[in-house]
Amino acid sequence: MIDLREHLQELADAAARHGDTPGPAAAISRGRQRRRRIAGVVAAVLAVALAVSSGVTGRLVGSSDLPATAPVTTLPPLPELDFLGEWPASPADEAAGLQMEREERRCPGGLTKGGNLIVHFRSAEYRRLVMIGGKPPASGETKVCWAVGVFDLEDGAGKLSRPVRPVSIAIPLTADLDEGAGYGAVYGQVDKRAYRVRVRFRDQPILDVPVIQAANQYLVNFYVGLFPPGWEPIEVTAFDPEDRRLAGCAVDPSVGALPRCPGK
Amino acid sequence: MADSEGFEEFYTGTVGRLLGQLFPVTGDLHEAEEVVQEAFSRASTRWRRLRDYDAPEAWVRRVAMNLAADRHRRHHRQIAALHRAGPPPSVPPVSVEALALVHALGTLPIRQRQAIVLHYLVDLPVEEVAATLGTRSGTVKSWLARGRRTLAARLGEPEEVGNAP
Repeated sequence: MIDLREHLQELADAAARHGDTPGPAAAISRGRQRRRRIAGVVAAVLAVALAVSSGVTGRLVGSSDLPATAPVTTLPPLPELDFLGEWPASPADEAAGLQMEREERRCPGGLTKGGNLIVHFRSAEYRRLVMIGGKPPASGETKVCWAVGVFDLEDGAGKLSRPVRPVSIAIPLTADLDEGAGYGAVYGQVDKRAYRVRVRFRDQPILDVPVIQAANQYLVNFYVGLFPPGWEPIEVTAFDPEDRRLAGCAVDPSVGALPRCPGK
Repeated sequence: MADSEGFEEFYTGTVGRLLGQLFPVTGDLHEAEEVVQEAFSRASTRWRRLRDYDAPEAWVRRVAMNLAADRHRRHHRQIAALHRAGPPPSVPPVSVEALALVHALGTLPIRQRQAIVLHYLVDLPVEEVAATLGTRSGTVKSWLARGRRTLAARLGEPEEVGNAP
């Protein structure tokens, strides 16, 4: 029987002796280049968003006094989310999912069959893995229990942006804010009829976020939008597929939440 | 304090060890060099935070392991094709037995390979292997058992190689 430890150690010693890495200065330089590359991608995305939203902003000013059911006819196309397939899609995905599961167990009544990961997707721009998990309301229940987590795409480290908390299914739109290293996040539950959620920032372009379809038993859908750190969301509005306004509310950054949600 | 203060010392003190740990996982020295260097480059951008960790080396190892797994998944078909048609992977001079082990490890799924290296080479207990790979201890035990069985078969051994965890 071969000695696995001995031969693995021999391989490791040989690799350490003969391996040739460019050194710490090269690692630092490569790290800086990577950071600049990511910043460049973010800047390019922002430039496109700015170009799109400058036209949209003008249109919204003109339509703000219209009744709630008035169509907004020319909203820009929604960005596509990079949904991950079957869980776990990677070691990071697995680590993040286990953290989510631990949280979901705190839902009232514990985690039952059917309570699980609602969706997981990645954001290449922000190097984040986003998860929404929860427990559908039981028959007759009027609250849905859910949590959102934003994790590091590479190692799954991170935190739950929103610990589980049951929310009334009657609320058509909620929004919470979170800020981590290199990103800000706005997320919430939204009426099943919603198709997009529009986030307006102070002195920044508009961000349109696609609504994430949860299974029917959840009775609500969800959304998560990531944005550059330092941006200050001031208003969140949900639209249906015909671009009719369903609900909206104003953000109070001082409390990191939307005290006036649901909107008027 | 400069953002990179202490990074050079950390790099110099750990790069050889990490390279040695990643080589049996990748089976190719150049590939191991690449993932280790990339992991260090990522560590450099967050060194201000990492240097306060109890074991920043464990963070770099975990990132390097993840990178190795990602690259394996993304490119395994192309790499397999290249290996069939092109030069053999870069391997430092080792004994015949160790060389056979490199080839046998290469036939294991990447997660089994990682578990075996972390447990038998890095000497991590099963629980820490599980934490590093982001999975459960039971899964790691299963990977280790299956990995040992496959290695034994590949190496022509009558029973499992190594010792059970």
